[in-house]
Amino acid sequence: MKKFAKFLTAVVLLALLSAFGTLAYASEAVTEERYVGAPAYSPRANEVINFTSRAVSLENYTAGKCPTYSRITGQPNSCGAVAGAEIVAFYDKYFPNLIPDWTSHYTNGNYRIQDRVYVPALLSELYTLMRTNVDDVGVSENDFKNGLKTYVNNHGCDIEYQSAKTLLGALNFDACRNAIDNNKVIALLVSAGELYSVSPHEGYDIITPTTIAGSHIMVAYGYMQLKYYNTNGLFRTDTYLIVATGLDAVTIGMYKIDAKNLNSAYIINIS
Amino acid sequence: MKEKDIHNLIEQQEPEKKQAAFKRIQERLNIAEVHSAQTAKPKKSVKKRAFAWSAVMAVALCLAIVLPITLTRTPDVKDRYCIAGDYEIVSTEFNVKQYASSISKKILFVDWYDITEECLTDLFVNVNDHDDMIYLREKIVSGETGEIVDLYITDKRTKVDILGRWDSCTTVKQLEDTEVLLDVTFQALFATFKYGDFVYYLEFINVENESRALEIIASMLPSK
Repeated sequence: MKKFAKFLTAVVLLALLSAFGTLAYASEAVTEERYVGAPAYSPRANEVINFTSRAVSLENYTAGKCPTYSRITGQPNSCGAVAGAEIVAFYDKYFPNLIPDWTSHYTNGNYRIQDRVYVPALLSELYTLMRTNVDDVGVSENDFKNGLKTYVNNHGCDIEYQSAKTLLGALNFDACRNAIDNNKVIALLVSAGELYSVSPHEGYDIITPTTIAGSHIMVAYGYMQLKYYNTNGLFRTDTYLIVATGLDAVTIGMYKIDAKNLNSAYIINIS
Repeated sequence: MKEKDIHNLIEQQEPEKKQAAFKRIQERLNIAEVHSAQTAKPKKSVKKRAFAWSAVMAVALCLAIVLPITLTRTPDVKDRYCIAGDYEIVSTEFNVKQYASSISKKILFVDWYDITEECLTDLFVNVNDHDDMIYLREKIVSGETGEIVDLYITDKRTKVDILGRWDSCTTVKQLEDTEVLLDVTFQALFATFKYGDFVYYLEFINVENESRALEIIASMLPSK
């Protein structure tokens, strides 16, 4: 009887250990977000904001704004590589070794559009360094950061990722604003959500959404704050980061700073 | 009452005169009957002819409308809506002008080829049939002004998910025979129009205003 009791206890303990191990593994597998460059579309109706007056209370951009690239053939789920290429090309203006033999900007300081040689080569290298589609579709946050870091280091520079989120997990707009004012771009890692464009009219604005259907990485290079007034005074304030979307079309978007789909935000410091 | 009065008047006449009067009346009635009989037939035949001609005209009109449509419509012309999973990107070495020439199609383009530092053209093709083009994209920058135009081109039966953003282009401008729909935003300017067999979608960056965007579109249209 005693032997049986011991045997039963061992079995129960073993079962509990197995269940715990399975649970731990499952929870770890679920929490890792994969960034796949989700498709975008525009299904929702526009929003119209009527007002008596509207003020652009805040607005600024990095010098020359930001390169706007998109995926190339043979590289599915490549939003990590596209965002990384935009970041590298942005800083290539200040650290020319980042993209050897090519200048990412025009003489007036504006950034070049995507070319047929150097940007595809950059995209391909980042795609590999970020281990895109290796463990699963797209890239994880760590693979994105590590792959970009490896590229930057290989070209004689250092990179630092400074989190631009508050302790409560929201976007730290003040930190983002300060970064942009000091000519630094921000990598945004988001889950499914929306980007916007705002069409100004006399007495009303039209806000057009573009839905991003899944997890995506974008680069913010500007900000804009719009304040709306009616006869009762200020009734609405919308604050956006201006982003290079990395999408096939609609290359520039506006990301609301109070959006609920933000996973991570990193101010990129390259030196 | 009047008839009775006339009849009584005739009855008061002498018999011979009465008979003559009745005879004259009868003769008149017979002529009226013949006349009405003669005119009734022509009325009937006019109605028949009118009906026949209108039927012929109706049929001819239907044929005139239907025949051109059926004869010019190519087979398999159902509209289609394409989402991201339906197409993939194929980079190309040619530009839209060269592509149009290679397939012998009239396709419009922004002719900055001689003044651009960079022009990037991609085909977005059916994942199951690379000969089936879903849309064409060309990104070109003016080497003189720094203006950038992203041009997207589809045929008229194809709708693409990402190009749905252009549904917000509601400001109408007329460039001769071409209706252009515009949307001016804080960050970029969007326009769309149809010409020939294709629909054109444009995103303008670093373009000063709506007038300049319309100038660029006008330069794409064939001069008359």
